[in-house]
Amino acid sequence: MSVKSATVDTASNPAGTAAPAEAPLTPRLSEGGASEPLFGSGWLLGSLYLAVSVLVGLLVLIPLVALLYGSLRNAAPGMPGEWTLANWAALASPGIAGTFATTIGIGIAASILSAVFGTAIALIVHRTDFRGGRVVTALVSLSFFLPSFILAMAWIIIGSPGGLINGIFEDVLGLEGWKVDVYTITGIIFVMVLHQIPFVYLAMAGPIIGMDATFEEAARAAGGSPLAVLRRVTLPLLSFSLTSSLVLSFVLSIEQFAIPALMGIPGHVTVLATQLYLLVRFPPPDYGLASAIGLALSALTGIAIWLQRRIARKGRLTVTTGKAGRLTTISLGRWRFAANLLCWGYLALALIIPIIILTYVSVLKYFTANPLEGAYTLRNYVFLFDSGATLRSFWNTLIVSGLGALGGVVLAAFISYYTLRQRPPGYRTLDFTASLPFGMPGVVLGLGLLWAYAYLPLPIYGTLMILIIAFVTRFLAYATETIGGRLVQIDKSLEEAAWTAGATRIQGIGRILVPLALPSLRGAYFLLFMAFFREISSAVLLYTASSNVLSTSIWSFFEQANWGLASSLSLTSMIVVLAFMYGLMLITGGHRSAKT
Amino acid sequence: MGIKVSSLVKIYGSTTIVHGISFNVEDGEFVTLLGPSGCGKTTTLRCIAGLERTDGGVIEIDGKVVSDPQQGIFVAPHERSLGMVFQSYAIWPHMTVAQNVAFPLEVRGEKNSRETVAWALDVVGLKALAGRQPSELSGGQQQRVALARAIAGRPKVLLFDEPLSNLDARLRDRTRAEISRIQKELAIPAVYVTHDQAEALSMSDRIIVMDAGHIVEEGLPRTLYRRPMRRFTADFIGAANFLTVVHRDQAWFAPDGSVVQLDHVEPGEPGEKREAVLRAESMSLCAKGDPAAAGLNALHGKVANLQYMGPHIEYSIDISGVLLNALCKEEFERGADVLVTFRPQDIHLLPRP
Repeated sequence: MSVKSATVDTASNPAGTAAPAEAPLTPRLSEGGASEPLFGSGWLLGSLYLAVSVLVGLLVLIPLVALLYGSLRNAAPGMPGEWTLANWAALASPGIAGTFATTIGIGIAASILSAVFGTAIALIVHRTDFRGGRVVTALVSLSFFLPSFILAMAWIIIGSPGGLINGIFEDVLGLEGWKVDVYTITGIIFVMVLHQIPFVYLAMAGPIIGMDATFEEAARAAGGSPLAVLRRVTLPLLSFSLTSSLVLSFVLSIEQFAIPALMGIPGHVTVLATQLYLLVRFPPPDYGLASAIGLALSALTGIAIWLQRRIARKGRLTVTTGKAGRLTTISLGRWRFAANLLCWGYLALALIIPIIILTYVSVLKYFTANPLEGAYTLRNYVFLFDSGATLRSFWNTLIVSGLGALGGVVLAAFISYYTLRQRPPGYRTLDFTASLPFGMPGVVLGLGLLWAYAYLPLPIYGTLMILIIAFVTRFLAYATETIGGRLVQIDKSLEEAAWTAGATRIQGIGRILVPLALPSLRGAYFLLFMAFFREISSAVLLYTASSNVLSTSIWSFFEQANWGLASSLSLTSMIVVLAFMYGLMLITGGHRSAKT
Repeated sequence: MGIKVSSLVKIYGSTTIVHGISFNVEDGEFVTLLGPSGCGKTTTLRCIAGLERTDGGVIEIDGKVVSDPQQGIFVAPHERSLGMVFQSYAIWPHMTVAQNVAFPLEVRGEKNSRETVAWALDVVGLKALAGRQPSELSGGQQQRVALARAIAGRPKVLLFDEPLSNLDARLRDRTRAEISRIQKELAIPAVYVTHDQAEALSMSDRIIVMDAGHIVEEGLPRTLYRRPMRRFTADFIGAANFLTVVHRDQAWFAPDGSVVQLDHVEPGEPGEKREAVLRAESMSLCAKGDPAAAGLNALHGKVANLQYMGPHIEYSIDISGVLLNALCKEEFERGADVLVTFRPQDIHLLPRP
């Protein structure tokens, strides 16, 4: 099972959430308190609790049990076969063991580099007299939403053996023997780091801004120079947050699928997630071994998450006081150049250059490294609107992301309400179950669902429904974390005051709780919407021609080596999705938020 | 009618918070539950409100049983006709002042709440702020909105959970008087929870002193202050000095050997020891031989320490090895030999335990 270890308290973690990693680990209500009295419409809330628990149980346990079953069978899903332990034994074979080592190696390297650069950018932007911090923050947040597979595509176009850089070396500059190749471990780590720096940045910005200023003031008063204070006080104080985002970054690295798949498969660099994919996708398929690998990978991420949560909980107690003091600004002095180089260099590599390259490739008739020799065309864009299949993937994405995210938020809101507010018997089990998928890599979840719906009489394989199920399950913890973080901030007495004023429980929820939690509900919706839109890893084993969403369409274009179409669709879909979100934000009044 | 609490028990996990306490609150009476934090006073109040389920005992409001676990009776808070003021005020931040105050009327389905809201806001003196957002109000104003909201629904009982503890001292004094006035006007029973003795003494018709889930003693503010029955009460309500006095030759003797005169005859066995309560603020100091001591109790002591406080001086006086705390106006140096004087009615012997 994946996150077996996190049994104690299971507020799952916000790996990809836009909120800083520290914040959502909010203090729970007093442990000793019994559950609140049920009254008024209690039966309604009671039966809803039952329904929510069963639904979450099914969502989470079906793929898990299916995987476990699959790992013990010697045949493909739905085929007659026998029980076997051979799949588990095969994990120890030199090939798989080597894959384990590669996965962990890439994970360690990528997470350390991401943590170092992400924290450095956060410190530069929020603690120094760096100019343009607002722009950097906005752009880093934007690159947070750039899907990993689009980033990987851009860098393949730039740095693969037949890509731009090599083209410039050979055709333009005539340099022989100079070669760049991103289909390597280094290339994979490079793109992973680019992809994860925004995550570390967002996770660290909160603690860096929210740090109690008196710690530093005391150090200054004791005679420490600004740099000495940074080194001796600030960084040690941040070490818990830093370690916590380091571990989460490690989890993201080892469960990352798109980057190692696009860059590693051509270059014969195999990690666990891609090994699983190859075993299922290419003949002769070995579903049993793939399942065993998936469970082993889940165990790895589960342990890391459990570790991270212990660290984060400890850290929360020591550093943040919630007092917003004025932190002294560190003067960059002669380091200004280096700071600019780091921040703008990062944005150039992770956002600006990839977008420019994708734009360039999308208007080329034939790929060439020399823009002066290019034959330009808009046919890639015209094709998108002429092709029924592509248009359908737009609609499918709107259905999956738009409606699926709505369903996810409603489910998460109920889960948060029961686990944080009402706490009926068994709420801890619900909390734990809902947090389990967080430790499950997307491609593993996809495989689990593949197994499960090969047996279950529900004919949803190859439909949008199975994608929605996969995405909601995978990102449920993001939503419960966002909503729960807000719910615990809403003082209990606000609801109690409504009851004593004559409101029933339902009235209290409708009139007090929901309006006050609305910003977090809206935030969770946008978070899920974006997560669903850019999700590829859990969809890659589940989509079919009729259930293509944007991410899978781009993926297939790229797999067919059609860089032009993949680029034009990437750009178009990002613009459409951002516009859609912006419109939605205007309609729902996301620019205003309620005060407490 | 009022409120009737009998043998109330509340248990959290394996800890009993309230040990079967009983008390009544008459119509129009203002009763304060006073005690240190963790004594069970807030839990008791929340049980009356229905915010906690009780584990034993019966609670009646206005003649109707609202909680009796043995009979399986539990009336939800919204059906108990309450007005409650919370320590955090619990003003809903997404509603205006008027919407906050109108809420109890609205949820009961009253269509024409405007007049009542205006009345309630008028009572607390906030009529002009009806359209404001809570975030634009000061702490004291929020507190009064909470009060207006509590009375707007014409409740049968008023409950207060340390409503003044977040206010600064000056505002607290003003609001204290206001709450008393409003409660008297409405003439409904009120239960007030606090750990602040000044609040309890100044507002209550009756004080119930609680400790560790039990009622220690109850009575009029004046009685509890001047004639407490228990050492805990004396100590908690106004810091008291305790002197051990000994009965000998039909009289009670202080540690320094002088006779203690009481305002009544207190019989005792020869050699019997009792604890006497002596308030710091009821003592005066004078030099030995000062005629001012005539007719008063006078103990011989030495100034062990002193702190200048402004309106008075806080002395620590050594009476044959027992330290007395005294708040006096007279000025003496450290080490001075003094007489500590007090009237016979200012010393009180605790009853035998």
